[in-house]
Amino acid sequence: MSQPPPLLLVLDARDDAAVTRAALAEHDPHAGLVTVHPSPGTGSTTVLAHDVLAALGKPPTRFACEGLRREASAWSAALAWIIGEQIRQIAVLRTHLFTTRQWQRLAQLHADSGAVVIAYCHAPRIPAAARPVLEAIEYRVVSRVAEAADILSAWQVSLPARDGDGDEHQPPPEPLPAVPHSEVAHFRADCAREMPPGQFALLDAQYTAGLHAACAWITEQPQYKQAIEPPEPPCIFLPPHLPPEESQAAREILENYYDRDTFRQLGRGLLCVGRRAHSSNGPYAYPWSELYPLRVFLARLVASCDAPTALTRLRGAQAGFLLHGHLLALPAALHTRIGPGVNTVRLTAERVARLRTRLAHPAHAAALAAAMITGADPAQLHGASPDMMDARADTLQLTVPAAIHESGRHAAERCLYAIPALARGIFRAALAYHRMDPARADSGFLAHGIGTDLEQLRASARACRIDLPALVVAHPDISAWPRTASWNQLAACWSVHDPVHGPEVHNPNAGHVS
Amino acid sequence: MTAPASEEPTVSDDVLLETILAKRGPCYYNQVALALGWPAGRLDAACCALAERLKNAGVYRLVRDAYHLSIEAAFNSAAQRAVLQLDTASYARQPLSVDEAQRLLTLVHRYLAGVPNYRPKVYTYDAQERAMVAGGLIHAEPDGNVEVYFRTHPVAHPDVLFALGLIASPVADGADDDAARAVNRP
Repeated sequence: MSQPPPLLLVLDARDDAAVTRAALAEHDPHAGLVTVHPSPGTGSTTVLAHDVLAALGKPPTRFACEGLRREASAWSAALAWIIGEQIRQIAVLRTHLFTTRQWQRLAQLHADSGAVVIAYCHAPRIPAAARPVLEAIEYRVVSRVAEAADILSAWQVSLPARDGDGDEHQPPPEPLPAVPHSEVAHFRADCAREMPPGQFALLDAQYTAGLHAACAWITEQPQYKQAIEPPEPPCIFLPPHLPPEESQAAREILENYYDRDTFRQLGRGLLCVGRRAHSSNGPYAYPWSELYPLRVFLARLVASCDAPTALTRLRGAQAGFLLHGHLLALPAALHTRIGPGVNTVRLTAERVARLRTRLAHPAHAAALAAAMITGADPAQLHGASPDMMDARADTLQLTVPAAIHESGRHAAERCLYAIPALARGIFRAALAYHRMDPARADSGFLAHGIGTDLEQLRASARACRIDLPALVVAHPDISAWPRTASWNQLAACWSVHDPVHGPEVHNPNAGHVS
Repeated sequence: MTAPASEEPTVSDDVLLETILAKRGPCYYNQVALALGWPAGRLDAACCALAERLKNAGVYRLVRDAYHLSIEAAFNSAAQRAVLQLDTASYARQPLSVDEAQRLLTLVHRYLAGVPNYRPKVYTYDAQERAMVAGGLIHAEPDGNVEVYFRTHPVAHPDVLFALGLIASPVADGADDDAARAVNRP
């Protein structure tokens, strides 16, 4: 990303109300544009920080109880939100009344945020308080708003796209009805039998979405491509002029005469579908080795879904895997399990908006969002370090107990959760805040939002009027581990047969085979 | 004193066949014919008579495939079905195992390839197939008639084909399979 333009000073010599109105009308935090209307009659930089937070939509009534009363923490939080939410432009009104200290803070904000800062001076000349600060930085004075817009437009073209609100797999606008607890072999049929046609159509759309997503994903995996031989040309064994009943009888004889493997090889030519390559495994099933990409796929498939939608999509995905000769093994009684989409609270746009507007501290908002997404043990959330979140903040890994060693102790592994697009800015803000103070390096980036005995997390949930999922506490009883493990941890995959869907791999359009 | 040879009790062909199969287990059809010195027509008649008698006698049935003859317990007998019903509800909720997935996909491939899948009316499933029938993965036929049938392959349950999008609609409870099925090949 290119460097932002220097700090822009708009001299509104006649204190034109239209200029102020235009600046306020541009205010749109969702689009990355913020206009700050500073509190009059004070030169406090702490108050200015609170004004910036208020302009970002944070509730002033929460500043004290969330530990943002002091200048350093308030400015850190403001800067963190600006970075996390990808704010591109910060317009500050009435800067002709600023003290030198406030101008210093404004310049620092411009240097640290990567956003363009526009300071509106409703006076004919540069204020005296600003001169010591402006002498040390690069700035530009404009007398017309249009001139500022021209300077900015060239820069804004070079900016990368901001996060959209859309995810790869959009949940349905309406929640689905309760679904049967059947396994994949009977799930779709049971739904068709039990539901009215209209409801089944809604559910089937999600089932099909899961199926197609699985088909598209698995056919792009290197492990799958390597395991499938290219389609072979058809091999004609029977004269084409035979009547149907004779052809059928001939095929039955072939079927009974050749052993299974030989008949399969003959069948390749007839069916023209790629077959599993010969390997040391022979006809036997073997496990899918790359579990991390599989779990990323599953986590994203059910991100921001309610339980019926998540279950339906997962069953559809299982069907898609079967169509490609793979068994996606999910734990039994999936609806009773813990994990993304099943026992967690759905992150809707309305709930995320509450996180943004009813909580001021980025760590508090991120902690509550993490609890809703994961339903995990609070100790795991408390200890979540910044390296457990990827750079785009679209996945979060938590260290969880895993398989039991021969010694009887739990090993540890990382369980993966997908962050919906509309909540990623919150997690980026929390990460940015955590990294600003080296003293916080030894603590988790969500720790401030969890608190001791979860009191801060519960306070945040009350403020946002959101019910926390039943938080799981790790059970000391080893035998209970499978019940307390996320279903995502327990998911596995096996290559069991030749694919049904084809042709595979060597078709340039193989990403959407069906 | 032994009875004269001419007064030795006559054993019917089907009883003799039953004795052989009960004693030796599954035998090659040709091997039985060769050992007894019977022409094919006599062995066939013995098979039909034995099958008729067994049908009326209990749960055992004569099973014949392309090469073998055997006497096996008929899975589709009402008594056995009743016992399995006790397991069906709980079993049906178990996830597919790797072995079941392999066998199921074999059946799906056969279905798509148009390989004839006679649903055998007299058929003995092996242990895994019985479990898969209990779990509704393989389609089980109701009790059929007593004729000797060739052993062929079971078919995937229509619910499974519907789950994979290979047929247009599932089978309603109690409906006829053929009426509900529409092939939808990929």
